[in-house]
Amino acid sequence: MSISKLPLRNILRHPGRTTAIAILVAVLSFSLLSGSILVYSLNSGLRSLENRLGADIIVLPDSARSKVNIDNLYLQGTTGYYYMSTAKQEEITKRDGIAAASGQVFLATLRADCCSMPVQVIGFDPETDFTVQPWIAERAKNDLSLNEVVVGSKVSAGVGESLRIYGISCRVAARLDATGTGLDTAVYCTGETMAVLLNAAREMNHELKITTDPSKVVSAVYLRVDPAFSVEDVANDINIHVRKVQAVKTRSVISGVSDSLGGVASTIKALIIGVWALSFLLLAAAFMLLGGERKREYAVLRVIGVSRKRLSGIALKEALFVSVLGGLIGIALSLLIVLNFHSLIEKALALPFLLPSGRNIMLFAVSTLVCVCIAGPLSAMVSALKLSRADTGIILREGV
Amino acid sequence: MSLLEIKNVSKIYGELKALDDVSLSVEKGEWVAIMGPSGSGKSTMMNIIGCMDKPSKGQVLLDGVDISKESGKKLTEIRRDKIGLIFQQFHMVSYLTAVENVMVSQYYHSMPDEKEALEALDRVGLKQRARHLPSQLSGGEQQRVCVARALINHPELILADEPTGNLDEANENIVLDLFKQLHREGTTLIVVTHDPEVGEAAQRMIVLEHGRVAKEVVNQNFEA
Amino acid sequence: MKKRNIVFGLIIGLMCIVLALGVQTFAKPCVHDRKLMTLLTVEGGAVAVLAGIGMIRPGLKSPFLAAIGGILAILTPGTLMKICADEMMRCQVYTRPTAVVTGALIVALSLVWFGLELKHREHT
Repeated sequence: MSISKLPLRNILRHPGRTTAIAILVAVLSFSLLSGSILVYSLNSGLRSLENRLGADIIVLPDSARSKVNIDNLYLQGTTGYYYMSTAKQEEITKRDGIAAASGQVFLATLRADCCSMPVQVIGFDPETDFTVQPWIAERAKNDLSLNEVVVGSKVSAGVGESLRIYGISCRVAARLDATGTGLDTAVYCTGETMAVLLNAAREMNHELKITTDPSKVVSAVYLRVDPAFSVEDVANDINIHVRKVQAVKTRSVISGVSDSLGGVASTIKALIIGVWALSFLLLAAAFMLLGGERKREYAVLRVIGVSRKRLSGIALKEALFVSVLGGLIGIALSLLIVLNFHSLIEKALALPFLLPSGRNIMLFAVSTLVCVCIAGPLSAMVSALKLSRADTGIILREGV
Repeated sequence: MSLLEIKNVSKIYGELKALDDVSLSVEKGEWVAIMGPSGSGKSTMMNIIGCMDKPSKGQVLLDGVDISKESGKKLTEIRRDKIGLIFQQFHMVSYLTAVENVMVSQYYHSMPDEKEALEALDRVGLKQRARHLPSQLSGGEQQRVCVARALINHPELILADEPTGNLDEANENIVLDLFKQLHREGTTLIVVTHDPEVGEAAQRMIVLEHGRVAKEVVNQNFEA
Repeated sequence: MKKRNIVFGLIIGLMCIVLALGVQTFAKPCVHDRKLMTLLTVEGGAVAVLAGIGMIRPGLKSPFLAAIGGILAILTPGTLMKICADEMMRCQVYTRPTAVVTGALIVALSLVWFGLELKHREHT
């Protein structure tokens, strides 16, 4: 045997004691890693939402309000369909302060069977679009042709496969990266394809209330405001002068999300701090209690000729071993639960949620391990110092 | 030549004088018993000689070095290199086997050598119990492991505090026989005890009372 | 009965209950997937029985078979049996994660138990 492994021997010969301390450390690392991943995912979800919205104002028909929660539209992917005529779009576009405008048409698919959720089909105008195409271009090499679609990351259809929407077979040209928002369950196509789908939907008795030609409707108009004008003023101007529409500032959608995200993130942070403070105190108390129990053993080592410094070293090394063990258990549990249940967490939080990349998750895990490897020995420090300073002679004579 | 010289040593705890102007010397290779009733200052004396405590006054010379003036770190080194300690309560490291308990002492002194540690256990008649944990050994066996541990680094002085206090007669005789053997080999032994039989096994008895040396008796019947 | 076997047997048993009852209640798969539900419940039940046997008659067999049961539970939804492809469906949100998490914990605990039994056997 190698006596340099003395701390390890002690740990292995006291499985109960080791397990109890390792569980406490595991709680520390579990809370830190899970909390960090959650907060990071919420923040990157918000960032991706900001990147994707692209427009300053979204104008929706008044009828939209009764069908969907506008604030929730881009988060939960609430499938909605509501229409206004393209004449309305022209009226909006003519207002002052508008630098760019593009219409989009929405259509919700039916629930095909029990195993697929309804998806939102979004038709955009390739000529004027400035919100969808920039990020479609990152994934699709060519422009979309008739009956070609681009799917969000959560739509279960691979590139090259066909997706049947209202009986029309559409080829999947590309899959987009995850955004952690409702946009992940959407299917994107050009207005041309959308017109075909709308016709097919109407034939299948879908409760579409389009009285006019399907190629002459829009569901939403996306606007970019001229920098010389204020977004607020332009939105107000539309709300006052264009009848039966509602102009929504995307900033307000984002700030609404940002507010609730801030609330959730601070709750998580407070929980992490609480768990850490409590676990750290418990750990320190556990090491103290252990110290009392091991006074005699330390005194024996002192008598044999182990210096105070070396004795503290042994105690800290033991704490480090247990911390690594507990830390790894906590990290494994955290990754197992968070990575497997991320969809449930996303559903429960109802906020944009984008998991970090594998590399970042590794970084978080390593940082967590470093943190607990500092916290564990730190909590053992007081008892180690106290023990090494104890009066050896008295302890051994009393046989405590 | 004196291995240990104590000159006018006092140890004062507040109002209490645990040792009061004590002077004595122990020659190299001598076997001395320090005796006395409870509260006579035996244990204080043991702590000072064992470098676990410092006197309030006076000088303690161990092998020519004044240990009353040394730092804590230096005292640790002296204890490790020159003294082998044996206690009444055995004091083994509970999670190490008998041979590991001996080797741990080697490790902090020089280099652990399992063969040598097994020889030391063989010397105290416990080679066959080398792989047992303290909880699997009897009191007598544990004390013999402690003797082996005290011997392993060939200390100049063996300091034993009530070494037979927790042993039955058979084990007491084994330990005393071991001491006799060590004495024949030239090891200096200081045994602190209140048991007259253990005291009478020594070459010389120093009796303490109220922190002072009450009498010194040379054992005429001592068998080397 | 040894303390170690009781502790491992009980914790693994608890995991099995979460798996077996979970897929019948909160982690129910999409409506018609009775086969998947039944299979996971049977797997959970079988591992629970193995854990029980391991508590009464310690040995290497029970932890080893329990670990295999855990692996089966992990592989059942998605690999051994098809589940909904849509990421937001119940099978993906509740059933599979429940099976994977409880299965992985059963495997980890069973392997530690197996290792300890093996060490114990070498010592005696």
